[in-house]
Amino acid sequence: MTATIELESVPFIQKFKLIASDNKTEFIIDEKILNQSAVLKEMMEIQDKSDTEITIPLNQISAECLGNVIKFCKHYEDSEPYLPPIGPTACLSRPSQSHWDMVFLKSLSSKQLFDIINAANFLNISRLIDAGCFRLGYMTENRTVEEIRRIFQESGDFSAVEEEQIRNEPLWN
Amino acid sequence: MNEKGIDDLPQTVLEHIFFLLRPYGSLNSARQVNSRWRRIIDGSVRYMKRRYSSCKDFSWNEITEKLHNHRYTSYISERGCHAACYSKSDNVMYMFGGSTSKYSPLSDMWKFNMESLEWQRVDQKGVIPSPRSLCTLLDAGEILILFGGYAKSSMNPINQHVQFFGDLYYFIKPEQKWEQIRSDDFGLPKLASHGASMLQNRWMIITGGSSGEDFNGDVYILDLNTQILSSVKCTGEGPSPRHGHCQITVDDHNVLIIGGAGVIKGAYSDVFLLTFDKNIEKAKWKEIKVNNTEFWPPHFWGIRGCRVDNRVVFLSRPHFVNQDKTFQKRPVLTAASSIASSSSGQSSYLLQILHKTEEQ
Repeated sequence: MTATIELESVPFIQKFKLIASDNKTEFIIDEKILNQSAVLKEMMEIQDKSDTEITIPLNQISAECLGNVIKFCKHYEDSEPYLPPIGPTACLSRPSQSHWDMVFLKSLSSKQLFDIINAANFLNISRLIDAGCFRLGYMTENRTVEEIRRIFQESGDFSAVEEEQIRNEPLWN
Repeated sequence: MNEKGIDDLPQTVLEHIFFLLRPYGSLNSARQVNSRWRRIIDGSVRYMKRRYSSCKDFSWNEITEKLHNHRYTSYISERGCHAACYSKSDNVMYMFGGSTSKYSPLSDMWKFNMESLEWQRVDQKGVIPSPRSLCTLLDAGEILILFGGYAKSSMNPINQHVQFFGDLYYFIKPEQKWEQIRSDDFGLPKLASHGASMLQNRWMIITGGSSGEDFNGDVYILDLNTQILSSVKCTGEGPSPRHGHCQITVDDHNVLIIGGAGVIKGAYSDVFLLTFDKNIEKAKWKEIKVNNTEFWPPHFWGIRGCRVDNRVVFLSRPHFVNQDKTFQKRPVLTAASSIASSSSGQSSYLLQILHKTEEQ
């Protein structure tokens, strides 16, 4: 009799086990973190939830990257659902450099940054996608074309004539 | 995933990145990186332009005032009647002078970075123009051109002396330095509250303006290559002498004059098109009929319109105040289009006047 009462009082917490691409590293997360990913949330809605722990293999995402994604989502586990900025003034909603998101993403190497954006895109975590894109915006800000090419290790494929022509083309007229 | 570079991101993510970039500066530089980036950005810009042209609702975004350099401790003081222009070559907006609510003229200069959205005070060097308001500042490649203006000398009404300026200054952008090109008594008209705009990046066109006792009805042209100022012979029925109008360069040969105030009728609400000939020597006036005059803002002088694509946008006071005599904190803009057609056979210009309507 007493055992039943205890069972009712302890809330049932669904746990999810994410397995990274190395098939070894595991992350145990709860629903608050999982639901930030639109893909996983949708996946779990059709999943039988009778087990207390559901295993999700994510063999496209490396252990390091998955760790970063979960660290980011953990920070927002008790926040309101994210509403992505829309419309042509979306660029004005960029968080300041001292915002937690920007500080967090700044601490990553550029490989880690691209990985995390890619993973966020794969898992459809819109808050993380936007934060990553805004971080890239800061990386290009007040940079010349040459500097942008160096930062992103891009090579130009324009001839000198074309380059001159593109420079003089008005973007907004 | 062994991705390392930005190019390994899917195209949708790249599009999203460019969409969230500041539209001035960053986007333009990113476009020059390579042909893939350029293709994607051009697509995004086309999309944003389409959105703009079908836009019916406008919303305000407050840009919080930030100082780029903490060396300058003071913020920009409140002012009116200052001169400002967007400078294309360094992607900033420059602002010069103006006057306080007590009519004391100012001569400080600021620039607003369009990319980082930050104000920065300009360390002016060279011959700095004397404090003034109602002068014009124009962007011409590597230089800014400042002309005219007026200043009240003293706050005491007995000693008050009003001065109008006819001097011309260049601001050399790379050196952040002023140069006086023409002094005050060199034969240029002394004008304030005039209209000025650049034609083909070579000629500065000056129309109207006030010289204290009188309003100017002539058109002056300054050739930046030869630095010769001359009066333009104009045919056709021109606007009556006025000041505080809005002058917009439409294309290489056409200048639009909108509104203003004069002695005969007070405030004007008319539109004139000034068309120059091929060699920019002679010009012809033509009045443009506005079809829905009921949508004109209540006061059409002293406010500057801004050309956005094929429209001229004005910000004006409302026609009415609410019944409890309160204004809304932010103007609510409603678009009302009026087509001003020109029968000269070239093309018709869409003149879209935006104004705040009464909120019932």
